[in-house]
Amino acid sequence: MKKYPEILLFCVLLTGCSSETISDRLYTQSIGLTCDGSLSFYAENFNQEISPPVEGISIAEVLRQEEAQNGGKVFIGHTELLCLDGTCTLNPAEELLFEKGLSPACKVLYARPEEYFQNADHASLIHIIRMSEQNGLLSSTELATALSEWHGIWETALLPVQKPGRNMPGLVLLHKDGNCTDLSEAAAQGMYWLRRNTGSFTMTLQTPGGEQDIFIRNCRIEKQAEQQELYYHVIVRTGTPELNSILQNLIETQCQKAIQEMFLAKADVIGMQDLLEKSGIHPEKNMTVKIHLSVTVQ
Amino acid sequence: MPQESKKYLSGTLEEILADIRHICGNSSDILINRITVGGISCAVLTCEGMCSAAIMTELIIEPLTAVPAQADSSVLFQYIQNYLLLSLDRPVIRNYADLFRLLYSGFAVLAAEGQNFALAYGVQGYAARSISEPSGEANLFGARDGLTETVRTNMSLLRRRMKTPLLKFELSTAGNLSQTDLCLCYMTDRVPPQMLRQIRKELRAVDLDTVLSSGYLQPFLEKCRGSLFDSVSLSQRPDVLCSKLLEGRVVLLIDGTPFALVIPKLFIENFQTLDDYNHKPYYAAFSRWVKYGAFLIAVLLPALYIAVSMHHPELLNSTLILILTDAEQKAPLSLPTETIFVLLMYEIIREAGLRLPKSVGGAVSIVSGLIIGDAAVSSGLISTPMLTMTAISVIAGFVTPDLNAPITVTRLLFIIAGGLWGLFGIGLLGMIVLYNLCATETFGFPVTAPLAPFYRRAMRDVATRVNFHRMQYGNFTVEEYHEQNS
Amino acid sequence: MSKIHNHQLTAILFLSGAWSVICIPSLYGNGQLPATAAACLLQILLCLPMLALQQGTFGRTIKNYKIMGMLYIIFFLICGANGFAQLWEAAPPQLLPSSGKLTAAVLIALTCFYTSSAGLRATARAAPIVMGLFILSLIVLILGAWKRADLNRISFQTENFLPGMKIYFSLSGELAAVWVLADQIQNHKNTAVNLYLIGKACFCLLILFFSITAGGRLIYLNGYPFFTLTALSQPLQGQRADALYILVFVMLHIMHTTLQTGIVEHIAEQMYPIAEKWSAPVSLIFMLILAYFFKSDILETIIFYSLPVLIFLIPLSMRIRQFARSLHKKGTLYEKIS
Repeated sequence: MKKYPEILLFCVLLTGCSSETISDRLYTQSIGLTCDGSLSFYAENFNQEISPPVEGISIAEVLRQEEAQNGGKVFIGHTELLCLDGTCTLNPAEELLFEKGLSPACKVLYARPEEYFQNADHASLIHIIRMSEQNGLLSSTELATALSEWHGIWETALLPVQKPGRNMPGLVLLHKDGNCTDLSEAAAQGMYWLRRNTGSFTMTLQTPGGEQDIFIRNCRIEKQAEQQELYYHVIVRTGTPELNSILQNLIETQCQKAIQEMFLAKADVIGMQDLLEKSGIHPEKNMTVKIHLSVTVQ
Repeated sequence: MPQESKKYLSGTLEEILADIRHICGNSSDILINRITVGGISCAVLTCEGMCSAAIMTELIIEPLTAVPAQADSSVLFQYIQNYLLLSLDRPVIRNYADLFRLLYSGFAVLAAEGQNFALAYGVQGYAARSISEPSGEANLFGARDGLTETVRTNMSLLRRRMKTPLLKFELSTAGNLSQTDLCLCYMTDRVPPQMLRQIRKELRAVDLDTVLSSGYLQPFLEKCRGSLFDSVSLSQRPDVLCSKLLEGRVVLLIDGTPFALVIPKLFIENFQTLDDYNHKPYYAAFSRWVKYGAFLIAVLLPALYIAVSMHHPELLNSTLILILTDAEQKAPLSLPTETIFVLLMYEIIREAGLRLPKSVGGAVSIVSGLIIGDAAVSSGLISTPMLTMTAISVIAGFVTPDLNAPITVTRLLFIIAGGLWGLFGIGLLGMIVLYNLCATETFGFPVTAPLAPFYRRAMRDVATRVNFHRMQYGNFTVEEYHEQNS
Repeated sequence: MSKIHNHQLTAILFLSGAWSVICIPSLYGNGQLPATAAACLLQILLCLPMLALQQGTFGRTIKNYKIMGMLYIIFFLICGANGFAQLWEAAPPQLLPSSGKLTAAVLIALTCFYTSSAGLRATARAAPIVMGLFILSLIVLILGAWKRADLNRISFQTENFLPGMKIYFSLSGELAAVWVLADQIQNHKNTAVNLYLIGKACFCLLILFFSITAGGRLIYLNGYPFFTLTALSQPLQGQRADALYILVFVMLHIMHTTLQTGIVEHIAEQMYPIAEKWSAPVSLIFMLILAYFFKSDILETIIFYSLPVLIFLIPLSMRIRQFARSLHKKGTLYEKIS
């Protein structure tokens, strides 16, 4: 009983000594990874201060070097953007997600990190990507989704990319081995309708009477599989019924474009593998799959 | 008590008076007045300052001097007992222990030549505090009278509110030297008999020399040592005590202190006030939940802030973490040390405010609030977010003043645990505190009832407060919560 | 020990079982869902002999057959050790203090030393409160997981049905506690036990369901579906909320270990009253030692093979014996009357 005050005092003192303070950490907003022989790590904090890249053979080593360089523990729990150039995709990203605390909602951008961080406007890109997703211009792409797609049979993920000379990002299909296929604008928009997206927004349609705005309440997709024939039914609810037919045609065109370009790139970013497994088929990389597309605008 | 005081009264009047002087060591406050009553030599004994001179004169001295001549002292005492109502409280004294106890309680004692007993008359007139508003337990709509230091006055306060013969008072004493009056109050139709027997047994077993406040007896009635939370409550309000009596609890009034003990106490009562029953049900339920939230904030907020900032910053959004980082950059001490320092300063200021005379008390708030608080933040010794968290936690603690002691201690412990091990440490300590609370019981009543074990019917006055139309049916007594040992 | 209420029994057993569920090491696929449901039904049937026994049978049995009491003590020590082994193997580094797994285990053991000294009655009272907090955390998990869930990943399959059942059984060590605790319950013990079995199965199904739908292919690679699910299911975009599950993790492990320690103490006290004071710390030390030397799959295998004996065969034989005795008494009475 008499020793309790001493033990308590010891614990109180320990609380000051043993752990770093909140300001000792380097809170990164964007990070980049590239593997040219060795792993290179780029980091930028929330004050847009970019630290010089460090190299190492593993994530643990590059983080250690970054900490030594900056004099503070690297904290990636709030990182909003991961920049990958296709040279290293899977293992470092998985390690960052499951062991180092990277958020699964972190956006993954296809770009060379050194070019990305040198671009003066790169800081706004994160916000542009986010707003584009909210406004139906870009399909949602997150780290967890990308990793899941890379682990599929077709080993390809859908990532945003910064197009030169354009503010709006585009989409690419990035294979696990680094091969990359650009998607056209129509295909990129088609991906929005075909992937799991929620939210409402207003878009502008080209009509015979000129440009008109249409309010999209929500969009959902119903999928079915019968053997190797897959049925995708896109259902869109709008607030402007008189423009529904025009919208329907547009969505059909965009979705068909997206599917076409996806097939050309031998990719699956619309959940074909899950559908095939659900119907009892073990998917293979070179198997022939037929997609029946239908669109309903209500 | 000296051995001689256990003797019975015997011998001549002179011998009795000599014994009295010897036992009390010729104490100057014992007044012995020789008087002849009905031709018999008598003595009237009082204690200085305990009796009212006017009442003594009117009720004792004048009637005694008018007594006609009697044959002997037994006839005299018979005459006085049968024909003179000198007082409403007229015990008979046969031994010196009772004589001194009654004398020091403000009784006047009449001893006569040739009698081996004396007569006592309750003519108390000592200075006592009048009934005033209770110092704590503030209520907007409740009564403004509170208990006083006189047990008989307190008995009357309860009796005035409960005009039923089911309310019973049992007087006894405790304290070998102080002989403090105790009064056990209960409703005969609803008190658990086993609990009552156990309480009586515990009180009889108390072997203290003095009982100067309720805190002396509280540990004997709380069966769980090492518990952070009380299983016996204190109250100064007669209306609150009556509501507890109606639930089958036992109230113990103690002479010399305005705080009565209520057995048993449930943890949930810390969040119930009399005002809850004066507001509309929706507001009463809202204020109850505010109190529950305030308790959690009071205990956990600083620890959670420290744990999240130091160990789990990913729980906060990036804007907030940057604000906190900027604020903490200048602070020389670690977060837990800062927090403990501020809380200890608050405790020192609170104690100083309690002990200081009222005229100086205002200076404490100026010094502590403006000078220390503002200067510490401006100089960067303490960061503003941390000070804000601590202040919110302290203010939240004021919502449940009965829990002030456990809140203060557990808050500090949680800060240490959160600082050392983050949410893991908070989880561990949280389980320890929960188990400590769940293990606390008194006389077979767990303090966590009616949450654990869960009684759905009781939620009408815990999770919410139903209106009186529904409350009037199915009144509960604490006996429902009793857990018997196998 | 005083009687416990049936909702307390449900809560204690559920929380102890929930710890095992969150430490499921791997996911076998959609086939695990029907396997879990089938295992639950089978457990309900296996518990029938235990619940049919008269109150006080367990106490009398272990007093008369001390070897049986020892058997149960060893079993609960293994269950407790399995909890620590699961902590070692399953817990991701983010959920433990920076000082490491050994520190975490020792801290939990010290906490359990205090909690078990408070007695099974305190555990029974704390369990519903912890259960309430646990349900709140589940709601947060579901909110985060629902956003990512893709129902197309779910299908009815029977592949890996038996391995799925085996895993569920090897994570059900607390079933043996039913007999010990049902001895203490006032009434409606069948309801309490069935609620626990169904509740645990529902919780397991929930975790498996969201692991498959929200976790996708990452769940199969990373193992430990619950922890992977908490990492992937974030209710808010800007923050990672899986640190909140530290509280769940700590609460469940402490409840699990305290239950095992409390039961060992209860059994030891009934067999040898002198063991009351030291049985709890000694059992915790034993658990730590066993966990240090044996991996969780070995301990789970022992649990899997011991469970049918302890929860079905022994109680069934006791029940047959009781039934035979009651028939004999009736027969004797009939002879007397006639």
